[in-house]
Amino acid sequence: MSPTAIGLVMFASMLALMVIRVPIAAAMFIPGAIGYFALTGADPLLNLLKGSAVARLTVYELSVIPLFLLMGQFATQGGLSRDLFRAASAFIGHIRGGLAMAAIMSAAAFGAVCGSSVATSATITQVAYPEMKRHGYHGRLSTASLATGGALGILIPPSVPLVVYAILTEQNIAKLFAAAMIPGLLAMAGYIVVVALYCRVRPEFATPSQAQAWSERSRALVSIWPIVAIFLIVFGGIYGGIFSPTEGAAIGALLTFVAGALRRELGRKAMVTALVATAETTAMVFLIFLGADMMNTTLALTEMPARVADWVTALPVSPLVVVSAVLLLYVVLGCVMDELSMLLLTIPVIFPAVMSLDLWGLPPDLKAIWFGILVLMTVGIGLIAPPVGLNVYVVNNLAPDVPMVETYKGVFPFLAWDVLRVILLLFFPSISLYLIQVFF
Amino acid sequence: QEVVLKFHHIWPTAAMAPQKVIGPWCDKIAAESNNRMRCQLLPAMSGGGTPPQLVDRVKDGVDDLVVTLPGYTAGRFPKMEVFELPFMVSSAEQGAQASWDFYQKHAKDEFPGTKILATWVHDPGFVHTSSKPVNKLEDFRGLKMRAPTRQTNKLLGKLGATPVGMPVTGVADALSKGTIDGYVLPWEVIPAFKLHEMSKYHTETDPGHPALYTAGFIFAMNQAKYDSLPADLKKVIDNNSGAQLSRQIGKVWDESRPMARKLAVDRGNNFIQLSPAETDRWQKASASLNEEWVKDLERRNLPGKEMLKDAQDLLAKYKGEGNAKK
Amino acid sequence: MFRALRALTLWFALLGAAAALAVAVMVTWSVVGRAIWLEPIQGDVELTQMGIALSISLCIPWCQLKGANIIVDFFTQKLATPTIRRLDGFGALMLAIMYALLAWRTSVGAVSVMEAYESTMILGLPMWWSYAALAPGLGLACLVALVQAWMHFAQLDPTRLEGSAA
Ligand code: NA
Ligand code: NA
Repeated sequence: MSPTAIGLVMFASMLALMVIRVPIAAAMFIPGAIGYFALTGADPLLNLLKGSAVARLTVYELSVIPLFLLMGQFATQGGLSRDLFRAASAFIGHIRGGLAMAAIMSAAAFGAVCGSSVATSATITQVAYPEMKRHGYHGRLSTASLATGGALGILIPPSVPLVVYAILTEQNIAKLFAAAMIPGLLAMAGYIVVVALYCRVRPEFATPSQAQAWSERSRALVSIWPIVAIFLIVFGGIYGGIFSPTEGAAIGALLTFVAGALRRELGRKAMVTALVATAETTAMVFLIFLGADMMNTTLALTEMPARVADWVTALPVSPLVVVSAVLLLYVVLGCVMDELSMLLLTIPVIFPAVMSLDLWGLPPDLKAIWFGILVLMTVGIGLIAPPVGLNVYVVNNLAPDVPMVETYKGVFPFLAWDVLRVILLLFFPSISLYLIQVFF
Repeated sequence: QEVVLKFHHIWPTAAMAPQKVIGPWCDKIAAESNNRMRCQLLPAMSGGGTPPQLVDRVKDGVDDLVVTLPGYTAGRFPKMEVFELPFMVSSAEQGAQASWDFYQKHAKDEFPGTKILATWVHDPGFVHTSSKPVNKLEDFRGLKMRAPTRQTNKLLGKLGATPVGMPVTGVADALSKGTIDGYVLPWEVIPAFKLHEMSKYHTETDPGHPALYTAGFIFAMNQAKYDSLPADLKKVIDNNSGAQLSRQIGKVWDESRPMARKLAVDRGNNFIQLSPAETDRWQKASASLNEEWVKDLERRNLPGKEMLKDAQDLLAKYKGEGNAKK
Repeated sequence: MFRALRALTLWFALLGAAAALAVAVMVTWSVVGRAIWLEPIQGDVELTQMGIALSISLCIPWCQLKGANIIVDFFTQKLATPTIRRLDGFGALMLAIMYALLAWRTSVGAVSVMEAYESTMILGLPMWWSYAALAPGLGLACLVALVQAWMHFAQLDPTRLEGSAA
């Protein structure tokens, strides 16, 4: 078999294994390893594997992932995220749909310390869903806004998919984080508008709660100072040039731990919960890395990525059409795949092709960053889009009384804003690039 | 039938080494073998693994050809490390010639299972800083400096700086944020990471002295792969390796220096030329590294003193030849 | 046997996440030292790399035990439970192979770099530590996956291994 044929068979086997519930890490690793064996033989494969686990697990830039996950868990178990939601709902709970808006705002605030959308959805659902239910919110509106808000976990930096993109494309992580800031806040603002419009069309979905006295409000506001302070230290440090993202994550994790412990909420049981939850997600993320590494190493050997890049750049259409097609591909893939596997599988193939296109006359480094944010936005769509939206799964798991179909019905207005935002960013790259000029 | 050699290396395709060394070498062996042998290039570590793993990968036959730095794997090639000692090498070309002879004489056993096609060092390394100039030895006090190798890490410590370890890809960012105050590097690598734009001061030691430091490179082939070639293809490889190739590659590194340096000049960066006397002080401050290296080898029951002498003699010999030509 | 395996896996996970916390403390110390006394911890990057690698590998068995690996279940939603169990058994077997290969080869890699006297650049720590540290986590994950595969094929309820709490 020719290398290209081996590459194609490998790719097809991967998809077949995924369809029959083989965990994605193994569905990439096993065909990748067999493909490598077919191309080079048993000894090179076995010798390659001598170093592959160490190679992936000791990447310094990737060490931000466990640290940011740890930080998010300490914030959850230490009660910091619950306070966030209380503060937000004290101010806007009395508006129609206010609790849903508060959930979205606290998801954004939590997303500013946590890099994972799964963790963000789970955390905010745990604190906000019972409140929404108690106030008679319709199930569809509740779960849809929670699943959508959870996506802010990756849309607002820090963001695990952005870290992965930065590693794969050798871009500066801090710059990517800065570039994601405005689009992320735009996403949040839009989701709140969607909730407001939703409640105007279907007022019966949300009952406003009692307006709170200003004394209550200021007390709620004061209670969130620790998380605000931590956020300012971590982000001030990263963007102000005092420390690297890894160092910021380490400091953030330690500070949230201390804050939770001082409030006496992070006791022995909560501590165990935080640690094992971190362990679970960390391992899940890195196992996908290990699988994708094997697949990508073999793909490089088949020279398929280079061929695809040549083919794409030779297409007789305008560069913007190519980029739009790529994003559409991500939407389709995002329907059945999770965000990380998608990036790990496609970026090595697609990135060189996109970089060789002339897009708005952008220089290479800015083009790489802008495309990264576009991909991130599109990945965010995949998180809530049917039939396989990871966030929807997570939220429905924690809100079992709402049928999944209801949630999917509910997310459509939010998806409309997602698509609109991607189009805006496609035509106005400066939405993402503006802050880079400010910070760097 | 066609022989394909998997050529794995650390640089992105547009960098100097793939353009001026690796690409031309591959074209040459393809032409001289009538296209019966070609390279499959795997740039920028796209074949997987980490740069330090390249030496094992080529030994084990995962990759057929690699270009890498023995210094990535501290402690593994103690003999070849001699060319990374401070104030040894005066130019990449001379360093390349001396390191090839030294490898032939002393260090072949450091690379079992591997056929070394060439060895060389980079052009002289200098001190570059972002906001605080280094005019004299005392200015290193309190500076956080990024070091590329084990020996430069020790060197910076002896000079009084605080060495910080990080991959070269992180230097620009760390510099812009003040995580480090400066770094040591040869001119050749600086444009690739736009480091001249992040630096304000360049401190160059006296040109009459050997370079502050250099780091070594090897161009290696899997021995079994070489042995499996038919005699005529072996000959093509033989014709494109050894002393001649090493020297030629060293020359390429030397030649890339003025162009890279000019970028910093054109930007209006400040150049600090150390006097011979001040350079002497630096050399004295770091002289104990030679003894440490000798002791390190003696601990492994190797004749460190003789080897150091041999390396110095070889460098002197090629320096003499170079001067005679001028 | 289930309880012992579960307890061991839990301890690995707690130790793994605690290692990440320890790295956080070390890095914070280094940043503070750098800012105030111009003295970062020597080799903090190397220590972070080693510590996080160890942390991740210790977390893997727990992730496996909890069935937290990402799967695509969209195409198999309508299948009967016994069929799904068989598919999941196959999936666990695939993972077991992956873990076994990585654990075995990483151990061999540890011996290679040990015999070559490789060490880290700044601290001169033996490089083989990084390799060897990964083997126990990968090995235990393989054992867990094999037990799960057996349970799935025997049509036993996999939650008996998972337990309920934590
Ligand atoms: Na985030
Ligand atoms: Na999806």
